[in-house]
Amino acid sequence: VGLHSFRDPDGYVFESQGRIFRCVLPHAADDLRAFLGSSLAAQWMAEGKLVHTRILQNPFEVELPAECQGRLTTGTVMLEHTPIVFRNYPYEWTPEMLCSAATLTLESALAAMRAGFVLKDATPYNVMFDGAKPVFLDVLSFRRRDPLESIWQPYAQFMRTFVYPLMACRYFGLRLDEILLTHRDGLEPDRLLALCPSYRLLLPPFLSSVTIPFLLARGDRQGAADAYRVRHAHEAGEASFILERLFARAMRLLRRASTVRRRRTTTSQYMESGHPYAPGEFAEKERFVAAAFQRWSPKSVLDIGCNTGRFSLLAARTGAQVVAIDHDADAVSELWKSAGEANSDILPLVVDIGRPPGACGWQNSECTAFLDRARAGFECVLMLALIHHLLVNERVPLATILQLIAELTTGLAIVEYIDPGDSHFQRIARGRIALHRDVTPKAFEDAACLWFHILDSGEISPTRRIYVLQKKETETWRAAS
Amino acid sequence: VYTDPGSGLFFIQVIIAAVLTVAYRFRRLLAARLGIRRSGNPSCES
Repeated sequence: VGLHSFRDPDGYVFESQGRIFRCVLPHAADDLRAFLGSSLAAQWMAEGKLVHTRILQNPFEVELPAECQGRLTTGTVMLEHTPIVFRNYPYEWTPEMLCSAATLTLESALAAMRAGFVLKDATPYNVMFDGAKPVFLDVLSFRRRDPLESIWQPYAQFMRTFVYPLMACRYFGLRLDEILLTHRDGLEPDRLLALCPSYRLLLPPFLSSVTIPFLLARGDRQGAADAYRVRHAHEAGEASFILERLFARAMRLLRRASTVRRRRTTTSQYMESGHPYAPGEFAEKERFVAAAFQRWSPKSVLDIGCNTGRFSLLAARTGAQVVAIDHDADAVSELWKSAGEANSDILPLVVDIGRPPGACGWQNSECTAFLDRARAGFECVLMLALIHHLLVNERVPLATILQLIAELTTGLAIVEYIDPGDSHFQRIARGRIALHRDVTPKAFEDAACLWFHILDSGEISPTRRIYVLQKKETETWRAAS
Repeated sequence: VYTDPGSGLFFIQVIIAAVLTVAYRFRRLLAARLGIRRSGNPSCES
């Protein structure tokens, strides 16, 4: 039993025996019931935009986390959410995915306002991706709205956590993980100001969204509590007019911040022109992997080093749920777009398997480490054309790569072995090929046999071979390791 | 609300809201005036 959230004074989320619950405290129960009973909630759940949620008849049937025991009083509402297949966090998304989550947040805020509710916070942590689609998770973020309320209080949070990080990516080339792993609540205007050349501070969109807010903040050194009171309009129509235009302005800023004009990275062009295979060799690789998927039909696949996702799409076409990771945000972004267009069950994430994101947040317990989420979570692990990068760039021993694969899969692994004689291996080794003298097909097979049985293998080129591995019984490989 | 309302970002929202309030009231006034002129009857204002 673990507590997952605690900032919202209206309730908290926790996990118990693999199920996700949300405890809503009595003072917030009426707002929640009103929202869940609305046609908006029903429609958004049916469309998959809002996490599927049900109210438990008996809240006392659930085992509570230790820190919450004794807090369950009469009037408490207990909800159960359908879990997201693979939990994912904003620092693992591409800028396009963050923009999509921001769009969903703004659409929720607008639809809620029209239905008589207000979205009380606007953070990317309210959203997760289920496959390639964003899903709004925090049903407790909606409360009934005073019809005269003409300020959207989470506006600043929306700017800090969505718009500013996207501007930092778009204009200054920062990576989202660089920003969001270290700043839970996004960037402040002064942080963006420090990155920005002076002339740009006087140009849109910086002038109105960064420079003026920064100057206004400097003028508010006393920070009187009264200054932050919610403003009210004279009539409901006036309040709606103001809020609708405020959301439209936020949407325009978002669009502008996310219009990425980047040069494509070498990694994202790999499948078109950068790979070292002859045409026949690549076709053979594709045929071999497709045949393996057809023969063993894994239900879940982790594609490590997915690039633009050619093989993830192949796996998804055979009915597998795929989580696809790569360190290159451009490549992952292309996969996210193609997975969305093909309506494939693929969750693409920007994760460097050489340095996977660790646990973070308060007491390192808010966001689980990537490997803890992935461990023993997949029927098949796919690792194609990656081993040489881990050997050369990360200097990871061959046996530990296979050990990691064995920890991630519950059954199969499809792994491409690349020999140090390979031209691409030699190119990335940059003259240090002698360091990899011990990397041979026999060494690979010996290491693989510590944790796996070799089911099949096929030669793709004289220096590349794909293996289909089946994990040994858990006891056997633990003893071997 | 427990989220940080920001400082400058909150005040710029207040300024935008004030400008929009003026725009809304001006629009209402204009619509009312045009409505009166077109119909010639003040009761058609709404």
